[in-house]
Amino acid sequence: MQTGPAGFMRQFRRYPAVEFGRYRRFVVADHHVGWVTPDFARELATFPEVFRLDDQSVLLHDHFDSVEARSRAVADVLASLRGRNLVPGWRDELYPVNRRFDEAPLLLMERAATPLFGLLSYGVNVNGLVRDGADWKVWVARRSATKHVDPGMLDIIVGGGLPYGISVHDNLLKECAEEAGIPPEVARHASPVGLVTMVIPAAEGLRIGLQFNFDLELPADFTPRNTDGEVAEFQLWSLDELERSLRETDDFMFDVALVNLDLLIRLGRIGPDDADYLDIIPNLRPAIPFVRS
Amino acid sequence: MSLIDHIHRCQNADMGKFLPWQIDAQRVGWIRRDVAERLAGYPTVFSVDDESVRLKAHLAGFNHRSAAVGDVTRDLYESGIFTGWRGEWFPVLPRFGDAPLLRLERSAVPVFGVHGFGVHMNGYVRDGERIRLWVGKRAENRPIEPGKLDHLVAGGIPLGLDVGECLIKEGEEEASIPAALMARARPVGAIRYRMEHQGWLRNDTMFVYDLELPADFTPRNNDGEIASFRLMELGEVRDILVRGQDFKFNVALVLIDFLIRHGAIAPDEPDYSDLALGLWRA
Repeated sequence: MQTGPAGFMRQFRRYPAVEFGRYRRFVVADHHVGWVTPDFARELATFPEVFRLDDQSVLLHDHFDSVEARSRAVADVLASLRGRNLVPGWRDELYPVNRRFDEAPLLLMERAATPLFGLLSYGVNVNGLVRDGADWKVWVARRSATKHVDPGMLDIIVGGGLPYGISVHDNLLKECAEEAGIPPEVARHASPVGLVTMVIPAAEGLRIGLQFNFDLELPADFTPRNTDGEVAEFQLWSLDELERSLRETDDFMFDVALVNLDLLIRLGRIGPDDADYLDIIPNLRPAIPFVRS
Repeated sequence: MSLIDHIHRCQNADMGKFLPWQIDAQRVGWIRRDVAERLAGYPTVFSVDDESVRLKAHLAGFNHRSAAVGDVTRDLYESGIFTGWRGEWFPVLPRFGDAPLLRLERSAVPVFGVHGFGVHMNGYVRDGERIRLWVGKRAENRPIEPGKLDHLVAGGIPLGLDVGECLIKEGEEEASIPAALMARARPVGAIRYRMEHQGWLRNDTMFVYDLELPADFTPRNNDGEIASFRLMELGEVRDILVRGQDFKFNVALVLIDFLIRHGAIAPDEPDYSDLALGLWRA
């Protein structure tokens, strides 16, 4: 458990503010869809048949004029970079590249490369809630020590990235089954409750995320059971425990801390009498930082 | 019309039309450039340049500032710059929770683009997974949005009341909800918009509450501001929003938030993320 100043705002101080001036825009078909560090831009410049650099951007050549052609060209580059260990945590999952969830993708790209290109990636989270009188308890997971990202940290009971080609609903059912052993007949009662967004520096580049959140009431006699080896243990917490953790520690993964804060706000556990109320709320949903063209 | 048009309607302010109003280097409002020129005619109260409108530094203290700005406000009103004098005081403050730097006549709040704070409460009845929402119809004599559909309880937070006190007071006045029942209202978030409305700047934050009401409760208006109430299916609320502007402009935002939080709009629907992200403009 880390110590530091108490208060929910500590969660937003875990990462330095992003200085966009340090990055180059990643541009595909005249659409600004990502941010690339100078180091990675130099790597991409060694593939002049695929990328072109100007003063402030890395551009995918316009002659790749279909989703297939763009995806193939970038996949070839990534295969080469992967051979030099420049794409850590390879997943073999394709993510859509776009600026909005309801926009057709401009190309598909290996998930592990999304922070390198500073792309917007999507995810789904499920708050596992158990009735506790007039109040709620919430299931908390601890990540297995072998995860590539944030090993051993506290996590949400069900949460995962949203690859291309699967609906939010189907992905939710799949993640519920894999991550917590929640059967589809229970999982289908999950209710959408909004979203959180994040823009944070990552070791490889920039992580821009938009995550759809759901609440799911679980029966008191249900115990989650992990089937994919990604979770070390589950614990059922009171909202007081959750509140204390978020005020006093950085034990939760950052994006999960956002989801938990959003939950506490929707449940009225954080209200206008908290002096930071009007600062917490916008920090849960920063704008997606692409320049619209 | 679609749901997202309500967001665009309320988040429409072109801030380039306004100059920041500063007190002791803290921004407390936004003033239209033509009004700023007029304020330059009160050199003992304001100093105005191309960048900002500043309250003169010699005006120190709440009373002193309130009196000086109050005189100018009365002048602007009497010269017909704005209408609808309310005789209610609103606080002027750089950040919610700070001590007010001065008080301002309510109808002048948008004239000075002062950050206004209000409460909006969704009063609903739950029957299993079915949720119905109490909707009010604004009286025809209201200065803003007469006859439009409104929340069960909503109002600006005047000087001297905190958020919770304002909510209880509005609950009693607007819908005769007893304080004991109002105490069950739950804060669920806040919405912020900047809107050019009737030529002025609505620079507003709404504290949003949900209150689940017993099925046998019937609201009754006490202050003449609401003409009638009706219990509406969420689907009908949504249909009315999609059909047009029957709801008061900012009520539409609170309803979109309610529909999102209660699962009546789903992530795979068009504009979902723009709707959710459009409920706050810094």
